[in-house]
Amino acid sequence: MLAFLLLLPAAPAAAHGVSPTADLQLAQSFAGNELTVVIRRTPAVPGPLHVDVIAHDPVRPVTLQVSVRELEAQSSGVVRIDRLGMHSLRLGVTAAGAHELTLRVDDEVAVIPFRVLVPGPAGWEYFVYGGFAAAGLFTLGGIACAVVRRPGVRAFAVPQAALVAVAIIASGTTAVLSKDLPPAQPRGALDQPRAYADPADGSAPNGRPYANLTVQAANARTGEPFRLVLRVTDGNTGRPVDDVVAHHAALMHLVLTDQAGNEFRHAHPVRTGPGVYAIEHTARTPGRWFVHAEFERADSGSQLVTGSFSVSGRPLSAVKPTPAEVRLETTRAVAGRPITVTARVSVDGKPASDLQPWLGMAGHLVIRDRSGAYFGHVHELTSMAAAQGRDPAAVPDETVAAEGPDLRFTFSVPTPGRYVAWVQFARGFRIHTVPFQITVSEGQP
Amino acid sequence: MTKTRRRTLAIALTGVVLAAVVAIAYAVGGGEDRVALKAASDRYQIELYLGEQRTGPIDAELVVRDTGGRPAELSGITLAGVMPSMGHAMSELTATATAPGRYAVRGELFTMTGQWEVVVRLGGSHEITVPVTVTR
Repeated sequence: MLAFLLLLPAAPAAAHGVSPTADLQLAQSFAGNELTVVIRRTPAVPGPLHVDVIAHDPVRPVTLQVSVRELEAQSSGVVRIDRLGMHSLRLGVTAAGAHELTLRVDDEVAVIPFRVLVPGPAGWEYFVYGGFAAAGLFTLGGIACAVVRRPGVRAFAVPQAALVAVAIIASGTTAVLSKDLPPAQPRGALDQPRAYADPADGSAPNGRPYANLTVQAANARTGEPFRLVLRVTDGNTGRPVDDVVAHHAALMHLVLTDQAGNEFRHAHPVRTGPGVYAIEHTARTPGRWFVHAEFERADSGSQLVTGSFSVSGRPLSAVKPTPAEVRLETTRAVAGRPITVTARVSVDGKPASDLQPWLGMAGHLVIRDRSGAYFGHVHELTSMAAAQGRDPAAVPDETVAAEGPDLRFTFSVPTPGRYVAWVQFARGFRIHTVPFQITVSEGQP
Repeated sequence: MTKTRRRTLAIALTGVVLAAVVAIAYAVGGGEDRVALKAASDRYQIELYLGEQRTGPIDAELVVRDTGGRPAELSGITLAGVMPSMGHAMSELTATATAPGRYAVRGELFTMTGQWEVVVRLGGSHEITVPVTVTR
């Protein structure tokens, strides 16, 4: 019974840091490439830090200078991105706590903050183990004293027997009550109060304020690459928002669309400094462009910020995307009622079951109305359900191609009208985007 | 020695040993007075000594070194408290140099208990943020 009680609770996997059981995956649109940076788990601190960079199609060959910095130490290396798939690099960590991973190509820079966590026992565990160890020692000592014939020694047997009882009761009680004691905090963890939702209405006791987005696109002309700078500031204090955590394997999901919805890009701007994100973009359609950015602040849910920018110049012909064999089926679309879109992916006429997870799931659907005011991001249903309850350490990364052929998305939209939508999935390290339109009819009163 | 006296002595001795063990454990576990809150950027390493992490005016000391560990002599260093969960921002306090790389600040950084951040501005727009738990 006691042995059962003493089984250590498994250390919770850290979602937004690296630990002996958790990797950190972040998509980064950087230096002309769509990369996924995977900071691998750290079984030993100090020890090696393995960083994998997964390159997606098309690859623009670059040499990445990668460095990891902690309070007093730095380790750096170089990785050449020249083909599809995984590129590996070995750096080092010397301590638990806050770190920054910096990627650099010429004057372009991406800074990824993360924490290295080292699990350790909780304070009460020392007490429980110490108590049981003391009980064992007193038992042996008491027996030893009792068998010795000298009365001066034998007198120590009874008090030790009493101490055995005290030690067992104290550590046994602590062990039984341990489920109500604070769990062990890993070394290097952020000092955060344990917070529970209000049982009355589910409101979060903390929860961070909303954010504002400022978009800057200098000299944006069709056909020419330009830099889009996004500044995220706190709605209450006005300070840069720098508590963004990994949300669906990215710090920020950015959707850029022109007003008509002919051009679409789902990318992941890199953090260049506190609250500042940047991305390079080339537009083919002039006019007004919409910016929808989704991210999650620490101790809060995800949020969407929007903005727009203008592109001058002449319209250029659209780039023809590589055709993917996808058959889309949409159930009857009625406002306020669930709509299901099923995408069946084929290769050479046969159903494809080698799709890769991208951003933590098999597929994404983005839907927007004509005005850009309504924006939906729908997750693929089957892969999300399969991932639930799975050991976080066993969640496959993007190199495991075992999803598909059917991608299922269910969602509803509030008002009738015409919507532009895109289904996205990954296969062979290429991200496929399938545009389509949905006409939603008036619901029954 | 009578049987009773032996027994009393044995109990007393065991008690003394137990008390000594508890006292040593306490001395090893506790007893930290001045806590340095450390943080670093790609240019500087800082150590912030807040004395007491409490609301109201406090005396704080800041030690700034460059990445090579040499004292950094800067002008116009400011400190400001920010409470992200409540959306509170405090006005900036200006630090005065007391020795090379050492700066003193007096003023209110925190207005309520909870998780705060001290934003240390080291000239221009270079900032380092230090998390602080305010307990009283």
